[in-house]
Amino acid sequence: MAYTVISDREVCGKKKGESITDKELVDAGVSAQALIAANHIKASNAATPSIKPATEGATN
Amino acid sequence: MARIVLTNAYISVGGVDLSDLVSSVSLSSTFDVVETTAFSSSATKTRVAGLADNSVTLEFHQDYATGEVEQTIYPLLGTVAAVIVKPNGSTTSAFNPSYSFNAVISEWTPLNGAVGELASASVSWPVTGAITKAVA
Repeated sequence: MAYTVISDREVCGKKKGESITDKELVDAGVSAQALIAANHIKASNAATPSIKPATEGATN
Repeated sequence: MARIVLTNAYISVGGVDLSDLVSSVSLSSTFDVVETTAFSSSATKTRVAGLADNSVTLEFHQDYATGEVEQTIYPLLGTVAAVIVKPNGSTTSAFNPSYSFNAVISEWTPLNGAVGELASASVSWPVTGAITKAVA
């Protein structure tokens, strides 16, 4: 899991726009959930939907 | 070695650099003193150090904006958070040692101040475990 720093404040030494991994957060002993709740980081590799919407007239 | 006037102390709480919103920092370390006096010809008390008890005291300038003090500390309330303090900026060296530890975020004052005063929050958080000092 990777995150992007969205805060104007440095997070674990990373600046806004830089990427930070789960491992880096764990190594620093900080909580990803708390950082997300505080709008400091956001998940940067959100899964893309694997199911496409059905198209009209499609046959099985 | 020169004396130092604190102007640029570094304070990180929960991984977030909040240095420019902190006006006072104090990291305190004390040990219980356990008496070991027994019969002897010296007629003096003897003692050894017992358990260490560490705490950090911080004075925050309150700020409710996105990613600032309130939004950073409030989610940590009642949890254990990583804290790092350094005397002079973020670069660790022999002359700017880093003290890192886990603190119990046991108290917070979301709103504090009188009319005309700067809103602030003064906290004293107990440290859980040891303080790690690094010089590089």
